[in-house]
Amino acid sequence: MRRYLWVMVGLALAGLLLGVQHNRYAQQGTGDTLAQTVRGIVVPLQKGVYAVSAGLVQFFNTLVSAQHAIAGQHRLLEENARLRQELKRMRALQRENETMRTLLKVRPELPHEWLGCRVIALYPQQQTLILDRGTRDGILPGAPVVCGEGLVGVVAQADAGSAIVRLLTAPRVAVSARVLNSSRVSSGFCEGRGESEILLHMLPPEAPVQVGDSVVSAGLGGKYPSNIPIGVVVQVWLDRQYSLKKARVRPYADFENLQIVLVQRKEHRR
Amino acid sequence: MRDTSYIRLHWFARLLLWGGWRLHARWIGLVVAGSVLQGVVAPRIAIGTAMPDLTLLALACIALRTNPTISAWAGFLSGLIEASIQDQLMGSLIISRVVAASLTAFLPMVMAPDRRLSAVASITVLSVLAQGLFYLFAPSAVGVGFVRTILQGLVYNIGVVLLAFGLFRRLLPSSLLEDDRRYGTFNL
Repeated sequence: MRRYLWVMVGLALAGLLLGVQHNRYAQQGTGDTLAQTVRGIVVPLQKGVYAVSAGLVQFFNTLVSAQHAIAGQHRLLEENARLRQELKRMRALQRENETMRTLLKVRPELPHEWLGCRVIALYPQQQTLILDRGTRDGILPGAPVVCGEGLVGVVAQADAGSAIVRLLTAPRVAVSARVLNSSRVSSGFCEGRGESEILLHMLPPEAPVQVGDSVVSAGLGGKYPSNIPIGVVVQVWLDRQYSLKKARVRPYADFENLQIVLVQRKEHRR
Repeated sequence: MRDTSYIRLHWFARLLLWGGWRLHARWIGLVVAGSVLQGVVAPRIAIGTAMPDLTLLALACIALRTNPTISAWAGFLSGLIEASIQDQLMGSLIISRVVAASLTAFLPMVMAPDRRLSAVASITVLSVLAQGLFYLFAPSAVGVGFVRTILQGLVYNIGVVLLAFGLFRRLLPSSLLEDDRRYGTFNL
């Protein structure tokens, strides 16, 4: 019995030392060799399992939904035609926008190059995703990650062939945000709290924020591009202690069903 | 004078002939498989927001079918793998898993490890201990929806363990533990 307890205590202490060492590496901004080695073994296995399971799911989906796919194709053709029209209109607006920027002498935003990545593993409890691409493809820590619905999170760590993404809902992930209200645009900060909704705070008390307002990234600090949709306001209250307005925001992105995301590659500065 | 009555084999030959490796290969395989599948398969088989924790499931099975030493090592390995994949909370994950798996491995002293209900007790005790300790060590990382999430996961895990207990019994049969008792854990 005593031997068992000694093994438990010894291994727990070893875990504590490894944790301290890992934190030290993280603070220095260098990778933990042990963690990288373990990832080098496990992540390729996960990629293999992902490929097999995705193939199986696709096979069964094809069998089940062949009839729906034919009907869906017609719907997609219609949507495609509609989107082409929309695109033409957007291009015209973009030209107009560029002309106005030139008139106002506003510096244009730097171009961003986005890379499509597959989500090979998801840990919702720890608000973490693993992507199938890494530094080899130009993905670096700190790069923003988006999906069709909006902002997903930020790359926390990148290895050669994989990257770890912290979701917007994760604690210590913060993004400057703007609330698009019909009467006035207000700015604040969105911060994850480890739950499904994120906290929008630092809003001025007079900000006319209402339930249902859209929240987009403000682009302050240059880490996240501006105007990426974040979510929708579901609750607003006034924090009387600090005289600031706060809001709860439900993210647009469905984190539990992400398959493909876009990651901003290293910027090509002109 | 030198005793020549026995021949000492080369370490590699001793490793091959050692009877305990089958058990160790199986529990290591189970922990690695659980950790690999947790990120890839578990989100796909989630029912609503309830998702199984395959790593804890593997640990519960190991704790029930082996001894506290092997369970502590299994907890260490699973914590190390999970923390490395996510690149966070290394110490919290390892300590919570080691302590929870070791303590759960004492359950066979009071209940029969071949019973299905013992497996339910094992996964319940292990989940509560592992997740509770993890919450104590890293409350901010877990968040406020913690209790709801672990309760949903626990119910799912109990369902899985009831269905798959036969498979676990085959993966870690009692005969392997007999080999371990005979040859010793890590006693080459």
